[in-house]
Amino acid sequence: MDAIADPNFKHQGNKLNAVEESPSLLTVVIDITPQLWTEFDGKKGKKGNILDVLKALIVFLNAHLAFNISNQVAVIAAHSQGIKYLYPKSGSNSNASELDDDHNDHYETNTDKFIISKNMYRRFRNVDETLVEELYTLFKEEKKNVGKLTQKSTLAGGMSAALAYTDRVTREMETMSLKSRIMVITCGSEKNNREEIFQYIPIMNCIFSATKIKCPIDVVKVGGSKESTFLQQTTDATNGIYLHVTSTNGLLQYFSIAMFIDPSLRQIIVKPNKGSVDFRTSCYVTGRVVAVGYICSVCLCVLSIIPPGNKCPACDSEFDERVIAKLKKKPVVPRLAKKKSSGHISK
Amino acid sequence: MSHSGAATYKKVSGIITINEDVSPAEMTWRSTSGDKQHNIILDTIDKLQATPATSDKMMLRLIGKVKELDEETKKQKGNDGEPIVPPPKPLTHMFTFNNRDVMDNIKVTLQQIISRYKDQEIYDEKRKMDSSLEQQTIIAVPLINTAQLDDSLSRGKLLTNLKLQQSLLKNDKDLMKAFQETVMNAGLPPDEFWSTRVPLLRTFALSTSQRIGPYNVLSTIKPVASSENKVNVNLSREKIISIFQNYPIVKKAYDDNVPKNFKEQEFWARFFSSKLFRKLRGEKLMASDRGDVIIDRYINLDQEYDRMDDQKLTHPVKKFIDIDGNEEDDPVKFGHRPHFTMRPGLDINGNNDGTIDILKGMNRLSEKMIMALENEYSRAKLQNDSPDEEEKESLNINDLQPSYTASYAIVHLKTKESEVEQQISNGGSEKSTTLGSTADLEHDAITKEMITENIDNVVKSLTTDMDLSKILPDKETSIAVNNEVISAVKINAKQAKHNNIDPALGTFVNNVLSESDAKSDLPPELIESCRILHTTCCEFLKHFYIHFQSGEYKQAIKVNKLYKHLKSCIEKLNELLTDVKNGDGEEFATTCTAYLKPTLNSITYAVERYDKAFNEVNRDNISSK
Repeated sequence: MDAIADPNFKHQGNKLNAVEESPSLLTVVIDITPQLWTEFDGKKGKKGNILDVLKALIVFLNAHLAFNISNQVAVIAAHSQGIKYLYPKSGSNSNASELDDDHNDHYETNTDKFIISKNMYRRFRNVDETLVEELYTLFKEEKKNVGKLTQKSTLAGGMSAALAYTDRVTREMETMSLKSRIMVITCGSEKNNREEIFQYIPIMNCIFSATKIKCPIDVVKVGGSKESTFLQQTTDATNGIYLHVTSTNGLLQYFSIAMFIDPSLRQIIVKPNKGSVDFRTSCYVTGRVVAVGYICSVCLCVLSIIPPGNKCPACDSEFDERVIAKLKKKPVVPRLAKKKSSGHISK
Repeated sequence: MSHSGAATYKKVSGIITINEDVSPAEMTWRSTSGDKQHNIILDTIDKLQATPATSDKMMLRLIGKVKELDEETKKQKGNDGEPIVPPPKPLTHMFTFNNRDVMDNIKVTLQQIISRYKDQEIYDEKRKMDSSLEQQTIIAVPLINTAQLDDSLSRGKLLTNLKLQQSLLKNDKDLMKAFQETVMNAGLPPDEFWSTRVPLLRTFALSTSQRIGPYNVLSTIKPVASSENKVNVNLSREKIISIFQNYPIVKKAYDDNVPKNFKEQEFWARFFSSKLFRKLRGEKLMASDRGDVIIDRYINLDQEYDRMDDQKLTHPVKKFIDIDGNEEDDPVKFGHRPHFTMRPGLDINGNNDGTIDILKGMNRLSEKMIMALENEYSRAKLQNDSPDEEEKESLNINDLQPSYTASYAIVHLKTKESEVEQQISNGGSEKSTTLGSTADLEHDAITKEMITENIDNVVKSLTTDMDLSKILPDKETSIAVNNEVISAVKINAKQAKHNNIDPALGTFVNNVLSESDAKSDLPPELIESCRILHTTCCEFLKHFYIHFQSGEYKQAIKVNKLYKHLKSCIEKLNELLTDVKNGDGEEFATTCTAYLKPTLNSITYAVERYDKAFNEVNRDNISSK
């Protein structure tokens, strides 16, 4: 039996090896807003969920790098005040960090302490160290920002940055026919869902550009409600995977089983998405998800009610009064009483 | 041009002349001395025999028809008075030649003529057979006036064009069904029915009114060689019409000769073997070409026609700029005469070989084609837009005009933050509240301290040793996660199969061919009646809402009518449901109800809205009194 099966198996293996896999770029956008994660920690009764996610992410990135020597990764963080490239480092490599203030001095002194493992494969270490280093700086900064007002659409901003980065790298590496995909890791809270409504337009823009450069966007949502209307729409439109996990426990397993679908296989492979996608959009004024509504012809903002003041609440464009009047027209029904009264007049 | 040649008949030498000027054509042999003459009318000839080229003898035998022998003999007697014994066998005429070329020449000519007469017979017979069919071929009249397209496609014209509507209904079965149900059976006014389908009418009108414009018809006519040494030409009625349109000379030849000289069939046979045909088609004429005596006379006339066309097609010279402009300046027609070496198809003596004429002829034809379409499809209107406009524009001195710059309207998108910022003066824990008062308790519980603590925690872990192996989930979790993902994949795989997802496109494929009805337990007739009822209801609902929301009080009566229709729709729906319940049993009834429930609901809703609005309006009126 073995004698027969073995050569067959080998042959297959050779065949697979013969096909040169095209390199791919993985861009990860991670929402690290401390506010959200703290909230999530509180709900789960377990501290440091964000750390679990980050660790799982590092392993995931290493795995991606291990697949192909030419594979590339990029990590972008969306934090409370904006976005930040964690890897590759923003600014011109280490020059910027050397010139930087005490954060980096502090970090430099600690450099040797936390290095993951000195024996680690160099390519992994390059990525991992930079990542941890940048995260450290970022969290230090976040500490200062506690109490400040949170920016709303940083996640969508991160996605835009990821798309821009992907597009740039793909163009630079045109000869390599680099495939690319984007993974978004976000933490869901009860409130987040409502906030997401105001990210509708930026997310829609991301969807359009992602479909144009044929880059799938995967979404992993940790905690919160199962559904995430717009992120689900994103994955649906870009051939991505939407995954909702209730806890950070076993996250690595989720990553490795569901998130490794090569972009070129997206169209063939059945994706582990759950539930159906809600294709509706949200009203700008009331925040309600609407199926039928009004749309501003200038900025395409969706409204469920005729806004007061005949003005678009998003772009201040004035609406045509006649059109509004038409929309406000009351239904037509025969007026029995009026007929009578007009009859009186004619008499 | 008649074909003639020396030949011996009954051992007397003489000259054969073929005369095609008369109809039917004749062949006359006259002895050299001139005292003997033999006349053969060529449409009485059945067969033609000649000695093969390999043989030394050069003889041509014509064998007459047997059946109509009596008639022929009478005719022949009448013609030349020569007594011919009516033999039981067919009449034969035998000629001997002393020159192969002469014989061949005569043979070919005779062949042509005889086969032409034979074709005529076949054609006549065929015609008798399907004369009834012939009458039915009516040339389609376009359903709309294509010369004024804009006008014909206007809403009003389309709605009143009953012929157009009828033919659309004939073409579209589904629409016909809907029309029958709603208009014929349920009493929806037809103009109401069409008012929502104007684009449909317009598309139909446009697609049916498209016609083939003038084209080089003759080049599409391809003679096909058949067996029996004949050349067949297929000619449809449309082609004949367009030949007449494009070539008035052919029309003239036809009018002159048919049916005076020949029958139609013969005319075309002659035409296609004529030099005129070759000339019109754009072929070079060789001196050695065999033509058709009668039709070729029109070549000269055709040149006359060409001159007239040239005059018509002369480009008018615009006087706007060039006051002295005259026709000699037409660059298309005139110009400096090039050196003879630069003139195609010209030898040193300046004789041309006809190439130029052919090219000119083709150009003339093309121009005529373009001109013919000038007034079609509202093009006449376009011409009215002052033709000098462009010229005026180009004359303007634009240098000192300010250059055009694109201007953009800036749209300021307001984010909610700006408002929130104003609202919240005391930052604290409420820093990210977007919807103000509805912030839940849980959210409130998260304090600044907690967040700071969390950050500290993270920072601390980032600076200490990080053991990535700890993140590996234990076996149970891994298995649970695997199962979860795999089960989701399984469900999706089933759906993917069901939804007929195209793997290449990754989307649902709306292939009409593969579209099939979902399985249903109901009998097909029941489903059909459900379907018809559904379309009828939808139709009424659509029209009801159009008028209900129109805001024009003139429509009130119509709305009321449609409201009554909707009510009867409800009745019909209920009737059907109860019928099914009583007749086909509970199971079918539930399926049927499931199918029609949405329709019923939407109609009920519409009726409710009407009632509500009606009561409101009338109460207002009562109270205002």
